[in-house]
Amino acid sequence: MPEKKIEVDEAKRKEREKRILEINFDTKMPEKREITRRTGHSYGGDVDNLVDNACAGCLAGCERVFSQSSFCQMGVATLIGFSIKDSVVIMHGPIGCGSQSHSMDFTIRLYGAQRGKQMANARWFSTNLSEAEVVHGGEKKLRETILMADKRFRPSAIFVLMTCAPSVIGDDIDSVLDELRSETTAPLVPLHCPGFKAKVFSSAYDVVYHGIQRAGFQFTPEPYVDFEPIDVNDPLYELKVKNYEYQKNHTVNLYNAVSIGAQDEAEMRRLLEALGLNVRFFVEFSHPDDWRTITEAALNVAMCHVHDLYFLEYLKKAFGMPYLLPTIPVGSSSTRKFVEEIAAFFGLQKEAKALLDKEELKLKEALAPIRERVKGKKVIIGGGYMRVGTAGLLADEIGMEVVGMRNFNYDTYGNELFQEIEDTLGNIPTAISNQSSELVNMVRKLNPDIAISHPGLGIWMNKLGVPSIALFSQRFTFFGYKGAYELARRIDRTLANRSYSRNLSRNIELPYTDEWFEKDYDHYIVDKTGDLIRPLAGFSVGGGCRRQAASV
Amino acid sequence: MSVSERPIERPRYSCMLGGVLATAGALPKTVPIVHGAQGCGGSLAQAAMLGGCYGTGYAGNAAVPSTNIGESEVIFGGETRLREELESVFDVMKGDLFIVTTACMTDIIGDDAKAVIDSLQPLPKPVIFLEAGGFKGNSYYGYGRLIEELFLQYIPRAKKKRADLVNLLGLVPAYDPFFRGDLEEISRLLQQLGLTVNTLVTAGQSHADLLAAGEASLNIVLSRLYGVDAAATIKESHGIDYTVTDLPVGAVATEAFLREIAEKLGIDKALVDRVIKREVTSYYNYVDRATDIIADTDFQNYAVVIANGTEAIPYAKYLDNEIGWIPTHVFVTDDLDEDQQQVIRSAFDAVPFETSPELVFETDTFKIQQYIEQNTPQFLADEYYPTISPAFVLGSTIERRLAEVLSGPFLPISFPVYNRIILTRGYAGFRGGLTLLEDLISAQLAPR
Repeated sequence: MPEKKIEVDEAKRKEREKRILEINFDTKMPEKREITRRTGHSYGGDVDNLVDNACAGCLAGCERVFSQSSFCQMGVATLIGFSIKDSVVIMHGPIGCGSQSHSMDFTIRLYGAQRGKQMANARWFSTNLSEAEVVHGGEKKLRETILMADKRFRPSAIFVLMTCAPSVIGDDIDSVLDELRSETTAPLVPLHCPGFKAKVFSSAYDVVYHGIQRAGFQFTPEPYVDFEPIDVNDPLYELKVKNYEYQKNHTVNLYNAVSIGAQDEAEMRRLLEALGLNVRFFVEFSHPDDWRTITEAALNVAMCHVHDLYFLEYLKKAFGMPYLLPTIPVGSSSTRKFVEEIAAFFGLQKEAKALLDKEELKLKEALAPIRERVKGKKVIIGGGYMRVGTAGLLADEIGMEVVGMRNFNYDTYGNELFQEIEDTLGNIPTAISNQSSELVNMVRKLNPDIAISHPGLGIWMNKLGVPSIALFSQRFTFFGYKGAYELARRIDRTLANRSYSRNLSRNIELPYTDEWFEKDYDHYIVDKTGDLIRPLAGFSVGGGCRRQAASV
Repeated sequence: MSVSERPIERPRYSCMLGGVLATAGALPKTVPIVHGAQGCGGSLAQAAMLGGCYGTGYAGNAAVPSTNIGESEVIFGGETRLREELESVFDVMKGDLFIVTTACMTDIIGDDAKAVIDSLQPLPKPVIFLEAGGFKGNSYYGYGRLIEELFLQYIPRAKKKRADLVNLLGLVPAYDPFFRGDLEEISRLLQQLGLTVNTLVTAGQSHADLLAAGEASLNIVLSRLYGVDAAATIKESHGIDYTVTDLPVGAVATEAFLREIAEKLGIDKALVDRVIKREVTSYYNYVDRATDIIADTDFQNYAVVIANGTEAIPYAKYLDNEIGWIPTHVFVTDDLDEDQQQVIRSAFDAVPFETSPELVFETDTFKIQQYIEQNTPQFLADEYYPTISPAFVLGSTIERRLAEVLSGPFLPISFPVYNRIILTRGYAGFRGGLTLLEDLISAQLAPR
């Protein structure tokens, strides 16, 4: 493979292990990830430089002077809200905010059913702010909407999403919610997620968990409701206590996401249950009543920590529950790491090794014929950085050449994974971008055979003649050994016939000028570190987020 | 644009900017530029996707240039950022027309986007501008405003009109999910009358067509509500007369539509008769074939129609006047003021229903179902009582639930439609009427 390997010395490796996290659970609204983790959303360069810049905290200062539409944290914040069983979501804003939410209806119904959960329809309201409310404030309408939602559906929770417009005009949703708490049966969850406030839209997950921890949900079981207290006079008292403690000490909570499917959960359950652990899944597709048993476990584990770190940090602080952020279990090496870390916590290393060795051997044999067909094929991967990195390792596992990576955002929580990528795949071209102009530019230069893309961008791959499969989808399995095999099969199947994208690319016109393709894809990314982000103690600010090694 | 004072549960449209972006995305080689937050363009593209998998198209969704204003722009103003974007956009994006729009945020903070554009003139490509803050109205309103500005700022005012040239207005891309098929069928029919037809928003339309639209002698507005204000403005600015009519669905409505337009334009009656005879003969040749299955399965249904102000009455009319069903309720799901409701009521009253359905104005999804459940209960303790059965629901995909309650099949025809993809399919005209018949019967045969 053409990538140049870079020697990373021990001191640098140590530096790269540091993680940036500054959160405050007590504030009304959480800070965006640009602040709390120095998460970057604009960058062009390579893995080595990316990781260094994340360490310095200066990725967050990079901006674009030409940009295109993308996602907002408000849209992303709806995802958890809808997938909480029997919830209602209220968009406090003009009629367009959240108007894409009808599609959540089948998402939660179908993927709930796959988990054996009968979900209600996606139920949501728009406060429908008009010009008058933009002048006079929309609090009255919000109050009316909350009361209507509560009366109409008796929901398990009401998530109130603050959009851009009421945020600027100064609606105080916390006061409205506080006032109404005694009048509604549903817990009211304030979500401060105006789109303009965060360019790193995964800030939405922090917003939702911030709202959840402030809404008064209970995370400990209720005696006589959730369990029968053991009577000290019971002759079997000690045995029952031991039994209870054994159960709890062998229970692990895994945290899911809308991007994670029922089959993924089933595969991770299979592997961990094989070690004798009791596995439960939170918070999506569960009812807030179920959350009372969250603390009845020995350990919390994020299946994708981009999603859940904030909540796990809260549970640790509030209840002393330990947590792990192993990785996202896509591909053999990441699955091994995921299971091994959990096994180590429970002292099951030996059992884990035996299980994983056996599973890996079986997978290796199964992948052999696929490997023969796909080896040397070039792939480009784009989306959330944990998915991108682990899918990259899987592509390498089946002999493909990863020619480029496009992370939607990036911070130090990716360094462990991307260090592994640098060690195994080399210093490959890497961007932080969800911009389609940058994508088409990069793809034209890297000329991949196939792409693995976040929803919404696969179209641009196809327009360029590159077939694209989804980076995540509830329809398919991605996690564990089954997921590795299935993802490899999908790559193999897609490469077997490229007619669709080839035909499309020959017959459509791209909305991009020829001159654009002559420029570097990161041409419009500039370093505004000084203006925007306050310096991080102990780090030098700057460092240049513009790509340094000419890698594309 | 009046917007109701009520909050809405599961609204069946998006905001003004949503309508502007969906419409801009249907114009040939057109690049919209949003001066707003980063999520506006992306989220509203996802909303438009609910119009039968509408798609990104030429430069939609993630390709839409957007200033992605952040906190500092909200505090200090976003004009500098817009200038920056406009200075680069022509180097990156290729297009024949660029449409700069504002969004809620930039309208609220009072950015003078027009001044920024003016200060950069001459720009290398035609650029039009409109304020499109989402709180100003809904997607239908956005469509109308964009069409208006397209004429005012881009389409030349032609003194000399072409007698044979007409423009079709009123169908809103994505939010009228069958707009392409419908416009193409109506074009096909009008072409047979010797007319040249600009649809502005279907495949095959070019900027030459757009620029020639000012030479048309008639704007045909296929909606009682949308595009009407634009047509009135265009009459003032371009001197093009306009006519407002219902979207014609099926043979009965389409024959009347063609005669109405022909009369308006003074087209030879013999030609009109010939065209209609040929179309009707062909139409009934197909209907004839469908009659076995219709007769043998007692195909007649009670029907509930749930659609926007453009589509609801034409569909109900087709069901009653054309295929002899009994529509019981017609729900108009748009947010309409008194005057607009009156327009719809008049159009409704003009339909010669065999059995008049009930016309209900309701935007709220829960209340639509509640209205039917409470007024025509499906379950009573009595032994004998009339129900809406056999029932058929024509509505949006959300109506799956109502169809379950009424134990009947359903056909998704109105926004949001997210369980089918709609490309060429249309229900207007003769061919559309047949397609609708196919789909209505197929929905009943699907469980076989």
